[in-house]
Formats: sequence, C-alpha cells, structure tokens
Amino acid sequence: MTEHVNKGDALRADRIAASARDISDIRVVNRTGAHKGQSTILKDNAYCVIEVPLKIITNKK
Amino acid sequence: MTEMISEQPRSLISLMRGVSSDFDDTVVISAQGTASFGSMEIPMPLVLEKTKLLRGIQLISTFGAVSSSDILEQQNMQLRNENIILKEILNKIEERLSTLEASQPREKVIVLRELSVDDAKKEIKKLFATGRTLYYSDIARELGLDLRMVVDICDALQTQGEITVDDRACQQG
Repeated sequence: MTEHVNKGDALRADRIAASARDISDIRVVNRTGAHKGQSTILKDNAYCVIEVPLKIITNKK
Repeated sequence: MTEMISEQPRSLISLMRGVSSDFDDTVVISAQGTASFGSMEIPMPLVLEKTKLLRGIQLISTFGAVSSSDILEQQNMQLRNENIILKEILNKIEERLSTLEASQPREKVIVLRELSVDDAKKEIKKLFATGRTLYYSDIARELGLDLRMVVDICDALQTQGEITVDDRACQQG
C-alpha cells in the first residue's frame, strides 16, 4: 500500500478515515450552487487512509 | 394614674379594654382634660364619646391594615405574574439550549488499547468472522485500536487471503 508523505500529496475518495493528535473545528464551506461541504485540518501525527469495505473469505480452502 | 379614676369609669375602661386589646388608659386620662382630672371624676358622656373615638380609631387602623394587605396582595399577584412570565422564558431558553446541544457534534472518547500485533490480528479476524463488511474505521472504533495498526493488519490479512474487498459494498458506495 502506498503511503504519501510528501508535502502537496493529496487523497481523493468518497470515504477517508483519519486520525490525528489535534483536529480543528469543522467549518461549513459553500460549494457550487446549493451544495455545502465541510472542512477541517488535522494536525500533529495525522494519518488518513482511503477506506475499503472488507469482508471475510468464507470459502477459503 | 388609674387610682385617680372613679369606680364607674373604671368599669367602662375595662369595657374599652375589651373593645380594643391595645387600649391605653392614659389616652382617657389625657382626653378628659386637666379640669376633670382635678375633680377625680370622669363624666360619663365624655367617656362614651372617647369610646366612640377609640372605636373610630380602631376602625381606621383596621382599614389601614386592610389597605396595606391589599397592597401586599397586589404586589404578590404582580410577582406571581412576573414569575409565570420568567418561567415561560426559562422554558424557551431550555428548549433552545437542548436544540443547540442536539445539533452540536458530541465528542466520544475512545481509549485506545495497547495490544500486540498478534492479539490485534486475532481480534480483527474474530470480528470479520461475524460475516459483516467492515471499513478500517469501523474496526478501529469497535476494537479500540489505532487506525494505522488496523490498516497494516488488514493489508496483511488481504495478502494472506483471509479477507477481501467487498465489491458489492463498493458498488453501493
């Protein structure tokens, strides 16, 4: 699994899990039209991963 | 001073005492004037007149007491009304506060457990054994594990062929 550690590297996904020592307040951001989004900043030892739905392999031999 | 008053008026004074509990004998003596006081006798009409006067004073004092109690009652009613209004305001404030609290994100503290990688792997496998489709964040939250550790262990399990990506869940989004 690739781990991006360089400044400027970005993640783009529908679902990203994150953890950090400090997370700033969530701000509502007005996007195009009636769409609204939220934004925040993760600080200190931040870690983000694009989430994948996983399930057990039942018919494993 | 009562010794100077004759027997008949003395009985009237006791009668007046009955009329008014806070009757003062000195009032009668001072009211009769120095001339009558000198003769050691209080004339009956004067006593009766003074009795009427005293009753009038008693009535006035009673009226005064009623009027002051009326004022108190009025103030009491005013305070009750203010109390009702304040209670309504307080209820509205409580409602607004509860609405605001409900809209605020609640912080839930998850204490991360310090497990060895092997123990964490066993617990993750046990969780997947329930047959559920899980995201990294679900596992981390349910087992109280560090997100990075969960991702690493899940990668290892995927490589070992224990778990796989749920395509159906991917399509559902």
